[in-house]
Amino acid sequence: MSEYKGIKGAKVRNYTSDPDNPLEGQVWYNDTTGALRVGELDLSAWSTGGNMNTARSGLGGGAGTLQTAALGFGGSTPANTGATESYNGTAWTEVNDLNTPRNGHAGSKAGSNTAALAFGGFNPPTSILGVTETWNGSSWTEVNDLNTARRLFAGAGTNTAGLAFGGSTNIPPNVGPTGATETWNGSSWTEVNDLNTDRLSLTGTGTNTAALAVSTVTEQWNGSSWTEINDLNTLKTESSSAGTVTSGLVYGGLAQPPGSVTATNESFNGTSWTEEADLTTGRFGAGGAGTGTAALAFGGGTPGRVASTEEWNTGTGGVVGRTVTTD
Amino acid sequence: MAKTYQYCVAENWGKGFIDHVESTKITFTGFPGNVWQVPAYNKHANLWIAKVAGVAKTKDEAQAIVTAEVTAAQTAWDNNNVEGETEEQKVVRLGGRPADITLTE
Repeated sequence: MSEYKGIKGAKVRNYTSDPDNPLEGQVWYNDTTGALRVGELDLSAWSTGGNMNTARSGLGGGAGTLQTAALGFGGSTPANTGATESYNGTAWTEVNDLNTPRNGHAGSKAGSNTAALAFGGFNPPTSILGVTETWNGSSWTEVNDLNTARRLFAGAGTNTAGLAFGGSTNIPPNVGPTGATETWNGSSWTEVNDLNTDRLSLTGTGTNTAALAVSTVTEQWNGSSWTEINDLNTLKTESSSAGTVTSGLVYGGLAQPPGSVTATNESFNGTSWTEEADLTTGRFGAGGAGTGTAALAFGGGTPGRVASTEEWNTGTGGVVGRTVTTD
Repeated sequence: MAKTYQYCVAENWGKGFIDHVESTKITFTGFPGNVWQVPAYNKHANLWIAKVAGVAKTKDEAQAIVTAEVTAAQTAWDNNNVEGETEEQKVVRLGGRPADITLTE
């Protein structure tokens, strides 16, 4: 059997703690932890998280800025569901359902698993919804409706400062895209300036004063109006998103055209989009939560509905010490 | 020609099925039917397949599993109709008809 010294010409060095700036491929033995360590690049990647209890698509975004405290609600199983689940970073727990089951709705993306807002959506075959419900950590309460009932739209903000934009105001088969935008102040919705491009099947992230609307066109909201900005490298609809207008992430969706499921993932730095590592499983209509550097993708269609969750974590790009595992 | 990928079937149990470090070392691609594609002739891929007790499949076997899942989704799409709806309207309502998936060697 070959020995390290025979290959490298030197013995593995012992340290009482990991070196401050290890080199890629450097090997050492940590006397304190009793572990053989190696320097490896700290890269960004998706890994699997806990599976949802209810497989579904049409999740309407979800809520939460923490990867360890997110909320998923509603969707299509394919029957409409109001099922709500809370994520703690490891597992999803079933909590109280929405009062009005729905899909194609939106959520307060900057909310949390203790304070969220669900609004609008579709209750097939005939009901386009404006119904809004607020989540207090244990149950949903119906509050004032959107002025413009809609489905397949996007949301941002919190349950005291929310934003709804885009979507379709029509019952299938009619499309009826809208750019209508409304802000929520904790008790009622107010119509504000529309998107420049009417559309449905978009994703949104951010707050009600700084948000992104992303699909085949990208627009940025500054609290009073929308401005068209740089588009994704890979245009798509029914994507998921997380983060802010200066650190955003958009992943999965349906490639345009013709609608094949995509795993593509892009980060936004406030100006431009950069292609990142793909989701392990392409999906559309999935929930999204977290930040641009620590995001969640949950549920969605592959095209069959799934319950799986993926967690995105951005690496530093530097070298970090990792324990060597034996084969 | 040497294979680029190997395939296995493994049920995603959730957290830890693919961890962050594994995902930085190799590219995982999941397909319908719990089919996973990872690099062939790769130590990290082999270790992961062993960890998840993946059942190795040839490309053709994996393709058959994926195709069955996609066909089921296509049939559901074909049967989901609203009276008076045009094809274009249906695509807007449901998204495009689920596309065929072709695995690579």
